[in-house]
Amino acid sequence: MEVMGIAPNLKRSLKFTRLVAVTMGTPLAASVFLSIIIMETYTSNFPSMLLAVVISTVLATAAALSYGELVSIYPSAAGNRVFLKRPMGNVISVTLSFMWTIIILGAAGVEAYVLGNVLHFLIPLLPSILWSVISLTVIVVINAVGVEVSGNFQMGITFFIALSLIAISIVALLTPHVNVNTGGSVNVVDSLTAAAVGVYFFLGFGRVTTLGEEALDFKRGIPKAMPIAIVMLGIIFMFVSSAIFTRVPIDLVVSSPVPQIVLGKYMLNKDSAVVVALVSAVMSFGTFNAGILGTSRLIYALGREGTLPSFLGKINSRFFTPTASLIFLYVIALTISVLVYATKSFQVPVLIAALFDSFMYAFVAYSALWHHRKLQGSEIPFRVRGGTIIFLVTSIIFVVLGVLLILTSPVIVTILTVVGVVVSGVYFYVKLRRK
Amino acid sequence: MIDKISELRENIEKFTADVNTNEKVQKLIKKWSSVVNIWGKDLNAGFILSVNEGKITGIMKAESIDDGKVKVIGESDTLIRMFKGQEKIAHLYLDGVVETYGSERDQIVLDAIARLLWR
Repeated sequence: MEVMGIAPNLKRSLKFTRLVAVTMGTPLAASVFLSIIIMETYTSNFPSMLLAVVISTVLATAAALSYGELVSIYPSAAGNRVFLKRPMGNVISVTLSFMWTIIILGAAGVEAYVLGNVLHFLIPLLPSILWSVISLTVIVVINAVGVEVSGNFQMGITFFIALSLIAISIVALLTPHVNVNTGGSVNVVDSLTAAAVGVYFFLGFGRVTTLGEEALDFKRGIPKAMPIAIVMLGIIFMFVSSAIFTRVPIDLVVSSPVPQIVLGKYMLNKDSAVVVALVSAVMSFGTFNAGILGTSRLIYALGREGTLPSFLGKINSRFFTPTASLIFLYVIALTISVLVYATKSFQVPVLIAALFDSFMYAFVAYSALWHHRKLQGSEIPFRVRGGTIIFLVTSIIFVVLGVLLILTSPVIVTILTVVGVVVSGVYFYVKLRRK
Repeated sequence: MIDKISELRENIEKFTADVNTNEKVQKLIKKWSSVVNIWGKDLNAGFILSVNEGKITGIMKAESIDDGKVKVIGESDTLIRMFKGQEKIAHLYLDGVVETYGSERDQIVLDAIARLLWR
């Protein structure tokens, strides 16, 4: 077939607002309420908690700047895998990006646990564990048959959730009720440790860098959208954590899988709790929908490349979806969810995610520093002013936060994280040497 | 540069013929319709492939990098090697050598076509 004429211009652009919404979409999960409760256990008073929220928001913004500079260099690429490859080598980059995927799946498992409990509250007909299994199965089947939710609908859902959370928090803060004693002076070490957990609130914001959808402006749009989205998430974070911390006694929420519903019930009444539960359920479905297919693509591509078993690179010829990879993700997320039910502890997976998150952001900031110093200005479309200092400080602080978490978390958190990294590191080392 | 553009065009034309005549590919993508922009960064030029129910029905010069529903952007040498089947699209994606824009589904379809043609 020969070339004929010139094609009409089919230019499309994704509006900046949507980029902000996409960045906010994955982190706005119902499991963030659990991270807030863990933060409460680390901080003895409200000023320390508030400082922790501010620190984690500032640090996540700094991490977003690191991602921004890297995505402008490597647009539409496989995220962490390619960002880390040049400064840290192939084995480390593939190991960390694979582990990152597993961490996201761990978070998905916790999310399914929360969603199961929320649905059980709304419809007590089935036990919560069954609701978790049903929800995860439905989400995976929807993704496997290639049902795509429109970008504008996703954007609407994200902003609906953001506004609902702020509204619920304001109502809780203003409703007359017995005050919880939250006074005291700031403890910086407590705040830093809690801030490391607080990073969980922003988990998955970097997904926008791997989206590859439509005519994204990777070189300017995404790098600018990410910090704005993080600051907006930080504001929501501040409202929600203030409401839970100052209005509900810690004893009531410390072991609850659904502190957001406790907030609704305790402050107002059961009807209000239903509203909170509905918002929470929308959060879970929104984050699942935003994350699961994108996550499956890395596993699929590693299967296709031969770095992971080749069956993971299979696609469904009817729906053009990476079915094997989706099933792999489903099994891991479901296993983690069942483990959370069995152990009745959501703390371990949340702390593992926070710990790995801290070190991952340290590595990403280091990579941004490496590129910032090695590449010419013209090779970096989005060059952060003062990048050398910002990325260096970001990297160091995230390492400090990671170490603080190791020192203060149950030892099983460190053991599982280290074992996961070492086992996958050895596997990828052997696999890549053979190629 | 004109040589590179011609070489890229020739390889795209050969790829088109292969896609349109390969039974396995046709079976796989019979319900797939799209507009794909293959853009050579170093050439500042590219080609648009119109796909209608699995058949590539037209190849046109692209007016700009923004054209198309799906975009595959890279250095011309890489694109030529890709269309000759000397590079795996998944590998290029993982290494960030080629930029691909489009829905997850469209990107997986492209990879699947390559897999069936050159595995």
